[in-house]
Amino acid sequence: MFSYVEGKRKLLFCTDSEVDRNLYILVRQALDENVTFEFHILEEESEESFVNQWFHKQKMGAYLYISGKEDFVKRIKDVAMMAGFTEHDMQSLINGPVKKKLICCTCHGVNEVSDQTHVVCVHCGQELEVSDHYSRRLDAYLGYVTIK
Amino acid sequence: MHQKSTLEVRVKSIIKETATIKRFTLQALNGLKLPPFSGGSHISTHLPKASGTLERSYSVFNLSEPGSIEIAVRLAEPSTGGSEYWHHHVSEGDVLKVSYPKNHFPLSFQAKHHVFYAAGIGITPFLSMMAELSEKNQSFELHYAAKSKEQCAFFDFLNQTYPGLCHFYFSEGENRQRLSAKLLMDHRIGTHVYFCGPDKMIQEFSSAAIRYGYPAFNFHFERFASPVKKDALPFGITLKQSGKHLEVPAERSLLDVLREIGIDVSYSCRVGGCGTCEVKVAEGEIDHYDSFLTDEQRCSNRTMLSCVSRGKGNVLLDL
Amino acid sequence: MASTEKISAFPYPFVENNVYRYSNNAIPLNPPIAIEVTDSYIEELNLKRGLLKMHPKRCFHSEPHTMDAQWEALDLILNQLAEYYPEKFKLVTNGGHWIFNNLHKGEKQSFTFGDPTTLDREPLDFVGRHVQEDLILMMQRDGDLFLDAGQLCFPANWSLYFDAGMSFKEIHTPIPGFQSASLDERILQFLMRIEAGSPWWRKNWSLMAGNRLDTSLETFAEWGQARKKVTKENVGELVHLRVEVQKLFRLPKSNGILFTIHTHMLPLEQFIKHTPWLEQFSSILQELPDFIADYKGISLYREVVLEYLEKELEKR
Ligand code: HEM
Ligand code: FES
Ligand SMILES: [Zn+2]
Repeated sequence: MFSYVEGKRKLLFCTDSEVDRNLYILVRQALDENVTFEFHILEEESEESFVNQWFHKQKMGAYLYISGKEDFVKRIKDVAMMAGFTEHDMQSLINGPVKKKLICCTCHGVNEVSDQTHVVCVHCGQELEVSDHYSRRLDAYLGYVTIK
Repeated sequence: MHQKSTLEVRVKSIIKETATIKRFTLQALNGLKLPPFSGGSHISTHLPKASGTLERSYSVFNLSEPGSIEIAVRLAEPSTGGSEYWHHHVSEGDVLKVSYPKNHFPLSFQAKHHVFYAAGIGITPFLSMMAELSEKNQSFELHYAAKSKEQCAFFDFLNQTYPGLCHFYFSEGENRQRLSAKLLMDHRIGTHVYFCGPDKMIQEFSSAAIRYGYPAFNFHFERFASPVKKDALPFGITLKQSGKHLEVPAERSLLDVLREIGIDVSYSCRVGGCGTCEVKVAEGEIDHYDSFLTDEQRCSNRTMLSCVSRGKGNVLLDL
Repeated sequence: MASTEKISAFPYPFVENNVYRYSNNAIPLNPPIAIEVTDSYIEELNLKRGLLKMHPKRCFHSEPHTMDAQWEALDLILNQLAEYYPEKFKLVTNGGHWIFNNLHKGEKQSFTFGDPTTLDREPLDFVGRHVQEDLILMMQRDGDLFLDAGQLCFPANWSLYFDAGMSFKEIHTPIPGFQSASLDERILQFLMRIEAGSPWWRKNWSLMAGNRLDTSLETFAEWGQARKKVTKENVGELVHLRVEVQKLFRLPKSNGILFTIHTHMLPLEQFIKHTPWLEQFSSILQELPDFIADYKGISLYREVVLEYLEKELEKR
């Protein structure tokens, strides 16, 4: 869930859907506390250059909330990071399913997993145990071979 | 107590930058180079005063030939001993001991833009930081307050080396200008700001940064902790669980005394660096001699590293 | 394979305590030497270079911003090789022009310090091919340490490709109990405070079935099988004590940390010849909690080893 961060000079909200309820409470609170905010519903990928400009003209003291489907959140987050936002001035929330990538420790191949604990690598056939060892660089978890 | 390895340096030249600020250029003795350093680094200098060695830290920079280390010292009034020594007892050719460069004030890596706020002698750490950024082609600006142009150390150097990037604020003479923390309001997202100057200035800028919504991640300041005295004195301890009382003599460590009575405090380095021998303090004041704890942990008076640190008077331990 | 070595040179990993737990067991390094050249130098170098050739992606990784730190690491290591092993290595530096002579290996390289076009590999990759150590660069960025470059041929079952770019704590998440009592936080705090001129070192130990130096995670499916082949008859010969001597140097220019890992191995039958070692190791292994034994990959054959050690103890 999102948490409302006090003490910011401006809040930025963005979502991929008009019916996104996650941001409502935050908007209410911003209104109550008289904090400036901007709200954008971004439904088209072509709006990327608008988003980029929007983020680039922000000053320190701005705080960003991103809500939407996984691909949307990842895409907007990347644009925000390029503009200078860090995890210290934004929060994001994914609506709907989250895909998890698993890297095979033997062949480095990427597998998609949901909530299994074991999978067979589609690239090399090795049986892998899903771990919670996570790489941000690869945005993936590590799949280990076990010896029984 | 553990002696960190030091470097012997010769004072190659002394330049008077302003009426109260002198720049000292230090070189290696054997014609070799002194170690390089990252932006924001400092050294501790060991000054052989008659009353004992005085340890003082100064930011380092190098505006001279590669392989030198330079510091700038302002004569403080009243002087705590360090600046008085540098100004009145150090001459060109003298040999001194200094530490290796260390950095407690590093530049942010992910910053999109860096802004430096300096007051007076607080300019010194920014000299090395700006040199590093300009070498790496990164974006920065400087806001620098001094009493007057004459008292503004490195004024010409800064203007020539970083034209257009340096803004000066003089509090005396014509065209007085105040360096205001309001400037913080106008920095683009992804900016990191750095403050160096008197405590009051650092206070003012830090609280403004918080008020304007800066995450703690984005503002940085440097304050040199006053060095601790190194004489070990005896002190008493009381163990909370057993109520047992013990004396730690001047020549022994708390770690030794605890282990001797069968309390299995684990340890590794015995020089205050690894953090393994920590014991929790319930009550009492501590003289910290380690190089592990953060300032916050030190000030809490709740913890100490038993291999080197000592109590003042009597200390109640959570053991 | 003679990657195992003489008992006299073996870095015994235990201190006075007969109980082993994870803790920060680092101590100041005196004399401050980042590398060690042993009798198996040539053999290990050949092995290393073979692996680098066959599996470049597995054995080397670097981020572009590590270039300064890579040169600093090269500077430190080449100078130390020439200073501490003058009969094996020569280094002539004339301003920026450097000539490194590996007399032991019969190789000579000249290059311009700081100019990457004058070396046919990245500096860390070059210097790593002249030492037995694996070399890791932890860069200090925004208040944390990140594994931003490394040359790794002899890992103890981990993957440089996967761990590259991770923070110190992220790297150590697979270790059970490492987060409890904020051990990871405390060790990070220790690392962040390491100063130039005052390096540190520690030893890490494990048991392994077999004597391969290249126990990469990528090939675990192969070499891990040996754990099932330990028997009463072969245990002394097959099972090895594996010790990593790890050294930590602050690099003052880049503010990074150079982490060198020298892996040593000794078969149990050699190791236990020294009775005090046999006695202490036997108690430690007896007491070792399951979570540590599991993590170190000992559990499948721990009982066989314990019986073997006990029998040997009876003989003394
Ligand atoms: C700064 C450089 C360091 C790096 C790059 C590093 C890296 C690693 C890696 C990759 C592993 C294997 C994790 C896995 O299973 O995937 C490991 C294990 C471990 N590390 Fe570190 N480490 C460093 C420093 C330290 C330090 C200073 C300590 C101090 C105590 C430490 C303690 C440990 C321990 C206890 C283990 C488990 C080893 C075992 O049980 O065999 N590490 N380290
Ligand atoms: S034993 Fe290392 S800090 Fe005390
Ligand atoms: Zn695979």
